[in-house]
Amino acid sequence: MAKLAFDTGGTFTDFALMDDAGRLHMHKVLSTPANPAEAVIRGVGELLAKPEATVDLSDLQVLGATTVVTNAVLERKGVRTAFVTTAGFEDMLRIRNEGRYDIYDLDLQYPAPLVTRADSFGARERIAADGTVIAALAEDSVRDVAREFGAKGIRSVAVCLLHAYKHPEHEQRIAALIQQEAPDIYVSLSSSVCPEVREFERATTTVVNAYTRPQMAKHVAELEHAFAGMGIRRPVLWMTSSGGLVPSARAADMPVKLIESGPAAGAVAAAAFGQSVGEQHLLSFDMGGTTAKLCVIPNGEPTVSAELEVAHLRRFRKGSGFPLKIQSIRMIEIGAGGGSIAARNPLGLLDVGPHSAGASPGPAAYGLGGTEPTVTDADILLGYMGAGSFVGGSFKVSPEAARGAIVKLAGSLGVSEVRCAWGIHDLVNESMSKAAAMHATELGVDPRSLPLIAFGGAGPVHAYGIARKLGIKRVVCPAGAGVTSAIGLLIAPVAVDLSASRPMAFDRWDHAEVRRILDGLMAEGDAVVAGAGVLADRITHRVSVDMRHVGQGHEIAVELPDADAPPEAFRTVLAERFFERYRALFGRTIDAPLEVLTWRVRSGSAAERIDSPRPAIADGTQKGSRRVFFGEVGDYVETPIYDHYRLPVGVLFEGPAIVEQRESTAVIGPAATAHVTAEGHLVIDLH
Amino acid sequence: MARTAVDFEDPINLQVLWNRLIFIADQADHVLGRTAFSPIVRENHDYVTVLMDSRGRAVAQCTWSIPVFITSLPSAAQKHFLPTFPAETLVEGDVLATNDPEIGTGHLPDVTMITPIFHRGRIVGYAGSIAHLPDIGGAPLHSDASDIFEEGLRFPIVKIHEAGVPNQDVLDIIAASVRLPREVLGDIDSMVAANAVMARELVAFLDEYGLDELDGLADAIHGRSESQMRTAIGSWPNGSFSAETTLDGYGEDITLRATVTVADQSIHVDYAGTSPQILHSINCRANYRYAHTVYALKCLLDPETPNNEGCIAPITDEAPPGSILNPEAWTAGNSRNLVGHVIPSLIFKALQDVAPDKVLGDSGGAPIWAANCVGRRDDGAQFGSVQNFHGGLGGRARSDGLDTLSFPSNCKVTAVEMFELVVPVLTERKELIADSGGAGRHRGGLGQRVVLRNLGRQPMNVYLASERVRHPCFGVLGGRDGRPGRITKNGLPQFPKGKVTLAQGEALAIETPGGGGHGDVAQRAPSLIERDLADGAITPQAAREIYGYRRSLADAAE
Repeated sequence: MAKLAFDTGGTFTDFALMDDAGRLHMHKVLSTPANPAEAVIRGVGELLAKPEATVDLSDLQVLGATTVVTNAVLERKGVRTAFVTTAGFEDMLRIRNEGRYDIYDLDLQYPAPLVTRADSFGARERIAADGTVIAALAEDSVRDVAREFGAKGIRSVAVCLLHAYKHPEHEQRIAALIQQEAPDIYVSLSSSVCPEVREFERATTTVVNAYTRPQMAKHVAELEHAFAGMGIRRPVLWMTSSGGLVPSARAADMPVKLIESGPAAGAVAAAAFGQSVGEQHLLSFDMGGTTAKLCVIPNGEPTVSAELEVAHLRRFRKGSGFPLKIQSIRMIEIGAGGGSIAARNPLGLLDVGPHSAGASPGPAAYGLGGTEPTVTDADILLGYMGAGSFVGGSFKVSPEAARGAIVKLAGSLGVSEVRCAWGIHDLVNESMSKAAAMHATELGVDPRSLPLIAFGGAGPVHAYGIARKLGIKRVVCPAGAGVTSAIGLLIAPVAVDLSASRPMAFDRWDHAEVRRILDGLMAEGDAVVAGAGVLADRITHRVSVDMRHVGQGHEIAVELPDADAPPEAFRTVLAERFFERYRALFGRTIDAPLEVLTWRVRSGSAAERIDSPRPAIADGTQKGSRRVFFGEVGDYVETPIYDHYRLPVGVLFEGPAIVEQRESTAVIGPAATAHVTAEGHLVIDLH
Repeated sequence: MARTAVDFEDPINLQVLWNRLIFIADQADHVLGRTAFSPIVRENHDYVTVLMDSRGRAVAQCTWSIPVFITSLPSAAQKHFLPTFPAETLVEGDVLATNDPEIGTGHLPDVTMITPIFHRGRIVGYAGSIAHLPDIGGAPLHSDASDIFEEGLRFPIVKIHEAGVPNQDVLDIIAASVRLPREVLGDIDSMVAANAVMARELVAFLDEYGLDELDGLADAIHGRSESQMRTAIGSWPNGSFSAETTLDGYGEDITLRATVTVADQSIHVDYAGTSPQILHSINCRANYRYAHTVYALKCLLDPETPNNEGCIAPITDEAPPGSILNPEAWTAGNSRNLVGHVIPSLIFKALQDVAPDKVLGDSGGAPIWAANCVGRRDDGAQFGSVQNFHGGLGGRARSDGLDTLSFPSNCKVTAVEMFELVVPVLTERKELIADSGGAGRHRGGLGQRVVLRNLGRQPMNVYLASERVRHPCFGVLGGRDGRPGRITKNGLPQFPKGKVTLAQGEALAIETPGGGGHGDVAQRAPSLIERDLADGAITPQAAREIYGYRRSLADAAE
């Protein structure tokens, strides 16, 4: 079966096609933000028209990653949405959790809720924590509100009632009532989008889903229609934030779960790149123009966390956005990329970021109006990136403009221009290293043991320096790094991640209830996975539960023992695993009672493998040489430059060296040896 | 002699090294926060980790900590820990700790802990942490205490670990004196672990850069920070600026008065004119007061520089001995925040004409309100759990105060669903109160109304902590007062710092105060009045009568 993946990004829409013969083809077109489907349809058409690609359309599987959902939230371009909650809690989205994300900033702001106060409604009802119906649902209170939706221009509704994570009856009845009164309205229920305890986070998650749903539904329908017109029969599979693919119907219903679609696909690809060079545990590092993403991948697969935050009002400041309770690949985003601006701070010290020149005006070297020195300008001045190494030489940059911007900053700091450029480069590497170390610590992993998989425009430029700081011994710069997320789609499994909160103390264990929860989640997940064409006997499950000591505020995800184990053994193994995780994370254990909070089930198929034989002309010709600055030498060194795609497989060469790719440039310092693998990946081993 | 291979004055080196030290404190913070049992530690971030040099001066502090800790640790180290246990009396593996309010942070539940960091055989610095324990013994609800001895166990500075071995005698005494021994010892253990992380990471850092000691780097950090703070102070005119405010206190009004004197790049705050100490637990010790003095000024002058000893050097304060801001050692002080949290608002008021573009109106989140619900479930099991509530932030120069926000502390409230899982209480409403924000060019944030109903068959006691019920939050620069808070049962006002008993089915209505306004009401933009009308933040009546808004609501909607 052939597979064709598209990844809609801000600037480019990337494509990767694995044809019937198992050959890999890549493609890129400019994105069309006004209607992202246009670029997808055009790119798919162009790729399928390539004479060298042989594809049986009737058996072609199309896979997608998209920024439609995340952009709708960031740009606040979703539909007019209503919020229905338990009467008395209509201000929930405004009250938030009453904390601050910055202690010293007196001008602190939060993003305005996606639903106005006037569009927030109370339903007269109340269910207590134990399921007691304190007040029956006053159906008229819902009907009256629903009848007004059409006239007000409301197209989508988020319903989040108290304790609906466990007692969804009133929410379900409200959905039915709204369907009767306003059949064209999209209804998202918290009990189905995010059945987890803690009302504010569940409500924001449901609101984001409702807010983006009509747009995503339209996008999905438009693509399905166009693909059918091309003769493609299978429904599109979409990448969710947790790294599993789901069919179009699910994607259209639960768009919030696609909010980190592209980055998730990138992490899946990194895991696969690692495996193809024999590395199971690794650190994925994707550094682009404005941000970098770091993701620790233990055991060949990214880890999934239930906490995510989007649309930060203050760049990368945790707490300043909308918290989402959806499962997503655990990664950290750092507000530093090639476009990050370097400046002198009030203390007279060098700062890099958080401001970014982005793609426009971009670094000074781009000559597009940017005058502030950026990380890319420093990298050019240090010789890491050549004037001709942008987009395969097709995009010209000006080293003189880069120098001009750096000289100005160096003057204000009272240091030489080289010292300044190296300082910028090194400071960014320092931020990345610290973030990686913290991220690894949170997972109980020693970062020094992890090879670094580097991609993105600036990833391979900075990977060597970061590896040195972290004590990492190996850096891998994959082939095809320019369309990483699209490649991730080709190999990702079909999978759906579901959760349900059922707080339960260990000393009040109800095993029958546990079985009911797990069976329910598995049945729901299996139905979605089967909808993507996975046969029932190929579906596997992975189950975990969020646990903590009674009284602690932080939960630890623990992988579950065999669900069929007898109750006592089940509980014993669960406790053992909790203590094992606890010790790995915090170095000790405490003799205190345990409780479980939220159960999580993944239903899925196995991940695919692709082997992409490299289409290289391996003549190993050196493209030239240039002077490159290395921190450990403290000076510029005349350094050979190679073309990644022309390096012979398996032949070792010593650093210093520069290896140019189409989308990036790999820096190999003097204390390293490198070679290209049979798959075409560049492997750098640090001494 | 220290090697000077690294030039600390280099603007790039210093940034890299300094950030690494903050990172070390943050790593320790992570360990402490994730493993602590104390709910106040986790929801309130009521703890801190600090790295100090060999003289006990703060070099780096974890990024997240509330204002009470801005100065406490280094001051405790310099004034008490180091004199009591000089370097020559310490060996590797020693850990020092106390909960004496006079040394630490002004109340008994906070333990202050310091671990010497040895490198190449001598002490190069100290790792410090403070955390709020889940219990410290004493009267179960401290607000009624009339002296500190009713408030719980007090231990002086002791070696809680000696050469790596836990001091079991001391730990046994602590365990025997508290209601939650396992959790309390667990949290002390978390602090020991957090300090150990800082020690380990600092040594690795010194090795990596080939440094013998930390003090040289500390001097560079302190020098830059102090000079930055002094420059910022220098932008203000010299002079003395006074303000006072009246608090509900414990039934009898309390006056806080501050005179802020700006003189040649330094600031001194004198609280002369403040009411005397009282026989209740809201006395606010000098260390706690100073922390809030510094916090308010740092927010105004230099919010960006990561906190360290240099930032606070130019700031001093004093209060009359025996006053509620400088009480005698025997006085009760557990709920000192009910007074101390108002200090930033008071300083803002004093400086309203000096920094009109920075100061806020008084905030309804100062202090935090709390309702501690205690009783027995129908099955006889005991429960006890605290819920917190905040009023609105004061109006600001560029925008309205945020609704229902913790300030100057930083406490996230417990989700209603989580609270209802542990306590048989139904939260019937949790909503914003229209018109509660003090009017102004920028109005104060709104307070909230929360209704708690006892679902159990047994009566339930609710112990309240609150303020600004009789005396509302004040406005600044002509802004008006916010709506005061209110606590009622069956429509009848209850003593806002007392105990209220709810029989089965009875409900308590808690209404937090709105923030004070900023600037003249007449200058409020019509667009903001219209936005408030649309959001229900103000009523049409208030729009007409307070803001003089003449258009009809229907027009405004167009």
